[in-house]
Amino acid sequence: MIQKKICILGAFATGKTSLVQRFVKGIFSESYLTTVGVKIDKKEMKIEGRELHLILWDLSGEDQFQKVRVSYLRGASGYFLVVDGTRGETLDTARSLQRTVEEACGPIPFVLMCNKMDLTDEWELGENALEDFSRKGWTVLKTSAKTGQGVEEAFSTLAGKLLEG
Amino acid sequence: MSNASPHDPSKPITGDLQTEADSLTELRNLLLGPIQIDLSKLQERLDDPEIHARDISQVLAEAIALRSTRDKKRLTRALYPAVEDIVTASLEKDRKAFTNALFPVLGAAVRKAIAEAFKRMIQSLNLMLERSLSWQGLMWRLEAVRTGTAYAEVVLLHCLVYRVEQVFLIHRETGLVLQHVVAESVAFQDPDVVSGMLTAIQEFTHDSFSVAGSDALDAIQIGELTMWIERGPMAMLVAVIRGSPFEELRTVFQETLETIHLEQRGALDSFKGDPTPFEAARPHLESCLLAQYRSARPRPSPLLWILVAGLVGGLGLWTFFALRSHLRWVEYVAMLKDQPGIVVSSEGKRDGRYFVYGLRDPLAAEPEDILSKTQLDAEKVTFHWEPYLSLNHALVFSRTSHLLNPPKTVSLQLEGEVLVARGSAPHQWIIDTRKLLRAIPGISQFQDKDLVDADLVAFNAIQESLKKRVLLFALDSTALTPDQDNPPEEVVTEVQRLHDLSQIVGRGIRIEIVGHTDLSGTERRNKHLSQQRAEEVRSFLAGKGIPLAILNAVGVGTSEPLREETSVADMHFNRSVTFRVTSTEAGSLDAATR
Repeated sequence: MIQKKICILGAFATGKTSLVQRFVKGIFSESYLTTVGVKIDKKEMKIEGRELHLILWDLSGEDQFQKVRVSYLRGASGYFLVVDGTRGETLDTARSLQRTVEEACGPIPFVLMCNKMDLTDEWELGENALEDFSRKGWTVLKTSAKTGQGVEEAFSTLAGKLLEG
Repeated sequence: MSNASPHDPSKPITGDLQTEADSLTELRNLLLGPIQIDLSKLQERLDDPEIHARDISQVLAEAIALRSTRDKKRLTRALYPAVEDIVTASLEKDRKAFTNALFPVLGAAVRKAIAEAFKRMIQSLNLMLERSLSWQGLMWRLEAVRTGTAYAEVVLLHCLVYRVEQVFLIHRETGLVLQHVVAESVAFQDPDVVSGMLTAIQEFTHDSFSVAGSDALDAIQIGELTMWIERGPMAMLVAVIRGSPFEELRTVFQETLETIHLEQRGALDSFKGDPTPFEAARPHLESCLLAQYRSARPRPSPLLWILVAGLVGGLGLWTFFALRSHLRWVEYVAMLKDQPGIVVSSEGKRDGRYFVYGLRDPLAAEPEDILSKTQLDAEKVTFHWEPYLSLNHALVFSRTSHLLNPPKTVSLQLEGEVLVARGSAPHQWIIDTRKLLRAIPGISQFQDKDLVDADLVAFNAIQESLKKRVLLFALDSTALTPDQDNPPEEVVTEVQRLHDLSQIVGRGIRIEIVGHTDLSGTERRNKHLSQQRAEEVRSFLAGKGIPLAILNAVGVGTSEPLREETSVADMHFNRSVTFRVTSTEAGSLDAATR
């Protein structure tokens, strides 16, 4: 059994908590409650026959008023950057956060989750932008915490990267 | 090795048939002969189980001893099946031998087990009584019912000083749980999530408050729970403690963390998420699951309290009854002392019985009667009374009345020491009373001026009555006429009574019987006739038993007519006998009796 600390970062209201709830409990709630500080959850999964325990640190969203606590990143084996596909500016936050994490933790595996893919009418992220990230070597996945689309795949992808490491 | 018998070098080699093979054999024998012999011997030893066993037996004990020092567990595992079989076989063969062998141990073990069980039972009973019979115990039972928890658990929680319920060994950098131990019957959340949050909280507090870099959160308290955090360079130990732990407990955690760091430095250094190597730390963490309960103060057992309460209650009851009895006794003695004619000289209690010594007037109240009013047990009271005569006024009067036995016509009163008698009493009673009173203590004087001597009164009255009596005679005769206003029998009775009274009152009497005649006839004849008439009455009275000594007959003729004769009736009246009574004071009452 392997334990890994995973941090979920992103701008505020990008759906970080919803993604964790979807992944851990399989539930989704329309009501929005901003995360204060950090919420920790755990998910057990099996990857290639190996038992993996993911300790998920759902960090509060970053905005102009509060920045992510770097101390929470300490010891993380990987992380998710979550962006809201309906708000393009959240991509900039993701970039900033990626730099922050890389400075704090080094080049640890991560996945960029473009969440809220169910809101196709409001989608703002262009494919070109996402491709740019892919070309940079980022793993970019579209997800929807509401429908569950892509969530399992995202966590499995990151888990796989962790085990490769 | 050749199967041919090696040549004995001590024997000469026959030289007739020396083929090349023989030469080789001979050469071999020469070179390897002694060695071959040794090898044969060795082979023989190996092949011969008897020799083999003998060789092993010589070193078997040492081999076992040596092996047990190196690897006792493996030796035990290896020998276990054989030993088990041996014991089983021994039991099947001869149980008695086995029993005899165990007997010295078995008895003591059984006795010890029984003693321990009994001791635990008594302790349990004491605890149960203590908890059950106390208000606290009742409240805990209610709590157990209310919370649905076992009563024993409630008791333990309330008796708890502290208890280490969980111990986390957490990787400092990642906040991941390396090992987690939980005490028995403790509910716990997912240790991974808890350790993550603990790490986050520590980071939060460190970031949020201006503290030195080395400072960190080392304790979190919530309700009854305290979390102590001990940090090492690579791991931290978090203990969740219920109750009020002593500070010395931190030392235990510190030492445990140091030991883990020492023993598992390599694993800590290379930790990448696999906690498996830290299973070895589990015993160290489990040794931190300490608990301390409030040890029962060396209180006396509830059974002892019950016994003491019984003794105290019994003593209280005994004291109450003893005091009540004593108070009743005191009250009784006071009542006795208040009684006239009773003098208590000493009283008390001896050998469980009350006693009273004193003086008692025979006329005083009965002490037993007074005792019956006090609810004291009469069986437990002993009286010693000496008789005496009390000068108590009432008793003197009672005694006097009893002694004098006055007639109903007499009323007695005791005024001080003077007995006053009023009314009327027989003469003799008065005489006797005057004599008796001299011997009655408490009476110094008898006042009877208001006491009428009934006999004396009667005596005087009869005298007067007799003086008025007239016995009438026939003309010129000494025969009484039949028509008498004063029948002679009445006169007899009266004279007799007078005589009797004169003796009672101590007076002498003389009854002069005076004969009278009317004016007819001669004086000489009348004188003689009157004398005869008087003599006749005298004889008549004497004949009735009246002593002659007191009777005197005198004839006065016509010298003392009773009436002036103006009629025949007057003349008839003068033909009579009258009586004159005189009494003397000789041997008079006053002189003799006062």
